[in-house]
Amino acid sequence: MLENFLLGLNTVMDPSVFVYAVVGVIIGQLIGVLPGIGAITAISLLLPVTFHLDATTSIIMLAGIYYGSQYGGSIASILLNLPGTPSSVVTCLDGYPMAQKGQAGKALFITATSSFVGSCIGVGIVIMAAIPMSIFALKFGAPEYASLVFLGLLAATMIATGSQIRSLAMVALGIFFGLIGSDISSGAYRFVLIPEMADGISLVSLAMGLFGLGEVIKNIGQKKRRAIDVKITLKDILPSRAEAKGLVGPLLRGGGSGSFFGALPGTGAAIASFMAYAIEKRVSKTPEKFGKGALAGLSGPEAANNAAAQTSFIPTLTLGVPGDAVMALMIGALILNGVIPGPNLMTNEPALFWGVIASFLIGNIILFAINLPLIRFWVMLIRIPYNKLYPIVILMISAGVYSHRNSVVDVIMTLMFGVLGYVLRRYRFEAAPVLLGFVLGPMLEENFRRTMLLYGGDFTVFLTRPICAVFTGLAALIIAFSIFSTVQKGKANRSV
Amino acid sequence: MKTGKKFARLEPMFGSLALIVAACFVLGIGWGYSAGKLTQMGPGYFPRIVGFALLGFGALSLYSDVTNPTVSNTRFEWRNLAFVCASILTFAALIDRAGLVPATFVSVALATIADSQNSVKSTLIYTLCVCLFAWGLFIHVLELPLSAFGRG
Repeated sequence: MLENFLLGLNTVMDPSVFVYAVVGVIIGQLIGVLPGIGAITAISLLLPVTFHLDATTSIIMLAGIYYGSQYGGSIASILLNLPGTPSSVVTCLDGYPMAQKGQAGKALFITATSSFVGSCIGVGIVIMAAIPMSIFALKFGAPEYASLVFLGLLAATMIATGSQIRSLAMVALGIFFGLIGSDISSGAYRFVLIPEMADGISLVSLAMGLFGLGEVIKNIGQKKRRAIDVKITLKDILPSRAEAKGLVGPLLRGGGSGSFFGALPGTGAAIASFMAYAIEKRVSKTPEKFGKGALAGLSGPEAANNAAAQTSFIPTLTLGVPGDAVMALMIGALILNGVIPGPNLMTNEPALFWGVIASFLIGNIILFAINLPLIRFWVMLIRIPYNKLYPIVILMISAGVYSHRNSVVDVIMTLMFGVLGYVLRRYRFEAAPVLLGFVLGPMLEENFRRTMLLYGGDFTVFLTRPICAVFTGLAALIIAFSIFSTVQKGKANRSV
Repeated sequence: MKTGKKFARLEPMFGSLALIVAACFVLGIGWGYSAGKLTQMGPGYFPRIVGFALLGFGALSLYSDVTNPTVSNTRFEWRNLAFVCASILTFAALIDRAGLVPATFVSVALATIADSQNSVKSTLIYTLCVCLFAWGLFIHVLELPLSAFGRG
């Protein structure tokens, strides 16, 4: 294990790779700070750039953007009460009240430290789990993959913030987008309306349209917000000895629960932070302080979302099955670069596999080191008005998509997905399940077809094979729970 | 007046209705592909499952829109939508024929106008700066295969 990790470190420390690791985390932090541009947007914006890089460097950079944005997201939450990323919504709850009390510096220090500790716990778990997970993943056949993908899609809709039915509809829509192009088995074209669609819909167009453009259309014209001023002196930022002692529990609990939720299919950093907040409030002796600037409410979730950002790479790299929309993009980026993620990735591409994992550690050290010294710069960035930002985002989207295949049709497709993304949000449909359905749909179809072919159409295979049975059982539990909660909600509505 | 009221009442259902239309599209076209059988699925088997799933979920979300109508508290941003569309379409129209810089100029200017807070002077200065930035970033730093002026 150690020698593998050293091989990874060797890969990252190569100057040509190291530069991109640094660029990735800095862009990530920057994106996290800027409200209105999320990690998905940033990763999709940079996808075309990665075609000019090798697969290892690409993934190290894109991964850096993802976990870097978790650090940056909390800065806007604390100073503006405006979360930079979905997972930093929770940071607003106790971070902003602290800033209002003149403790912004301390809140920023605690989130940076918690992020770092959480990430280290996550990285440690990734290193320990990688080899056993890859060996375990080798036992996976078509039925296991089919049931895991099905469970992942179901779990993603279960934990979505909106209605579950609407999220399921979005997954189905995403699967439909994934069907467009040629059928894997027969080669027949499906839903190809113009010749340019013969290769299927480009992931770059879909992601940039749904997330990048959709967000822009929604946010143009938003009013400028005033950021709270922040004092950075050692006395202002350091917590007292008693406060620091009280943070050990939340950090460990947050890091542990975050690592768990990050590794599960369908859950991600956002869910991990909400869960950690709920846990901290439950175990706290002073739950009434939560929402008014409780340190545990700040550090637990922050450790959790960063730990989850690391462990979400476990199923992505070892099984090739993404847990959330960001990981779906990572899989897409790997495939576009000619690398097939899955159980064989570790043996076929050890430098890539361990290089990515080692880059987490290096990236987090860089992030921790630049977070506080550059706080004035981040505060300055927060003050950039959105009307100076969005035209550049639109340009990056147009030029990025065009340069990918020199195709004007791709640009127009991106626009269509952008309009779709805006309309979906307007009607309370979430866009993230569409992307997940798009990436997982073809996997589901291929493995389901293969299972039915190999087992003569016998559905009991999903119950008789032990790993399948676990996934099927979990899926059944999710369905039962959501029916139960819908009925309960219906009863509660009727009694009001 | 009456039509306006009717529109307002139906508006929350548009999303779900669009999904049902999409499901009909998937089923309509997907039915033309051979389905095969469960053990030997053809290209049309899975699209039918997806089509029916879309139809089912679309119908269920329509039911929830009818029983529990939620009116969005934000208005539909027609202006934003129109200018963003214009911006990207002009970029698409100009990039092959005129090159990156002219395409960027027109596209960014149109995008900037979407926000009514921007004045003409600030739009012009800002657009020129972005053109310079785009030329430096895309052509010189990222070395994307784009031509600055004219056909590539």
